Amino acid sequence: MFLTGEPSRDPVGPHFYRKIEKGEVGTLEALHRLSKARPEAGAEPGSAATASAFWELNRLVGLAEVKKIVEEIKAYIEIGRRREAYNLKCEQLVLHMIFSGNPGTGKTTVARLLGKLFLGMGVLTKGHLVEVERADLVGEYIGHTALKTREQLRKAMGGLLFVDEAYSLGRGGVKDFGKEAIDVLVKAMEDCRHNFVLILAGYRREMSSFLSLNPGLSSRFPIQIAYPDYSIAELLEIAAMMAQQRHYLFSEAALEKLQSCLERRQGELDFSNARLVRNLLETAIRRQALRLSRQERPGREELITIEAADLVVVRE
Amino acid sequence: MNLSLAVIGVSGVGKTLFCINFAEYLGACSLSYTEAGGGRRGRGLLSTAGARRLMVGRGRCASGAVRTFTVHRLIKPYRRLALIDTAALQQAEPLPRRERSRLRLTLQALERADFILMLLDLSCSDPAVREFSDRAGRYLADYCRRQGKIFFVAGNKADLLIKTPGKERFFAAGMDLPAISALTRAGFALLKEALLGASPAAASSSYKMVDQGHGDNSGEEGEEDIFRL
Repeated sequence: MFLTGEPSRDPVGPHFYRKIEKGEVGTLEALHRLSKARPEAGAEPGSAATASAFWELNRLVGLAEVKKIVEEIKAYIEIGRRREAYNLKCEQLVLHMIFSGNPGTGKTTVARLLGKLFLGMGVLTKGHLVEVERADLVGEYIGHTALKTREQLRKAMGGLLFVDEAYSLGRGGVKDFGKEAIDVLVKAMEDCRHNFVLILAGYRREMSSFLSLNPGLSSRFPIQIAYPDYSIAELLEIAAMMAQQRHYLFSEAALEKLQSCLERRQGELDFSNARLVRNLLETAIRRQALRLSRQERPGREELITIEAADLVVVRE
Repeated sequence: MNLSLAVIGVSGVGKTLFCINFAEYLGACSLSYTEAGGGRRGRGLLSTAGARRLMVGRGRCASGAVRTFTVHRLIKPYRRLALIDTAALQQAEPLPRRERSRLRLTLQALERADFILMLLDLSCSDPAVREFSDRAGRYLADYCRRQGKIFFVAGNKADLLIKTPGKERFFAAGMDLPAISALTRAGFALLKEALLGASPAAASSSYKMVDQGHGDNSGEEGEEDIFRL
């Protein structure tokens, strides 16, 4: 059962069950430890990281295109392993991506998950995410930009480099150092294409004009995902999920008010999808706390329920 | 070679009813069972109707035992499908004394199982329960992946959702999972198909489940076969 070279103690063993009997370990802690148990002899273990990352990915509302692409990559890797068994070639995929979408459509959330997924699938060796923006890549004097960008690339090796608001690298004209940062990134994309994944992310309109100004850049990214705005039904689902994670619940009247609020705001230029929902929820939680603090002894139902009166239509 | 399916979930999710009705759906008309925990240890043979009467319902499922129902093939070579009805996962921290041995037995049952099915209550609106189930499911997914076991998640009590139209968006928020009903047996065909399609490392790949005609035990072929080569 025990593999040589591994740490000496299996997280699950007689000592683990003794701790449960003593009440030192609760249910979730016990399940967490169980999830770290060494594979049984004869089992064909997979990386546990993939399972929970897939669980999380499936819990994300909408994002059908992302889920489809992840499934494709997973299938490619699995088939690649079978091909290898027959001595057939299996080229490693180039997975550099462009994410374009309006605010709050899940670009950063997905990027964080992809790191875990790619680690579990064996695509990346570390699977960590390095989130950068223009200021982390662009320097202030000649030569500084290349140094800064290479430093971020070094940090991202084995994981993902996520450039948020990547279109800002193209701003400022030809003399701007942003162009230099792009050149360094493009070179690294070719030289170390299997050692890291570069994701350029940004708002849809800005990203399309950025890519049109940099011919040849777009074709270097085999995966380009457009994140659509969420529908009202999806936003309500997201709201329920977010509330659930914080152990809150919307009353029927609150849901209806939230729905009408979202419908009113949807066409606006600064509509920020899930981010707006999160802001509305957080405001409602604060207002609910204030309302309940004026009551003598609120019960459990009251403590978890967000009423329509708690919801305010706020401007971000 | 036997196959075992451990059914896990929080209290009141419908684990026992699922085990009995799913066994019946697969063609069993009687069930032998063993139970441990809840301060008792026992075994017996019951008709599925008797098992429902004795084990399901208010106060009856509160024993907290880990029960193993066995769906037999009585001709040699002896094979069986074990449906392990685990003790309910409890949120309380620290766990009450009586729940500790139940948790131990449940985890040990998971270690023995080839398949693990987690049931979630689609009609449950309590955010704390849902969040607890979500975290438990995530750990179980990790566990199964690491151990090479097959993990299924299904939302039970779909029949209650139908009675409250318009609430799906709320109750099933973010849950893209097959909806079943242990009571009406809706979704059982899908689940059986998923079980058939899976091939646990620990289980024999040479056995196939025979369609028993949705619980009707009168089929000619494999009347007494739940599995065959």
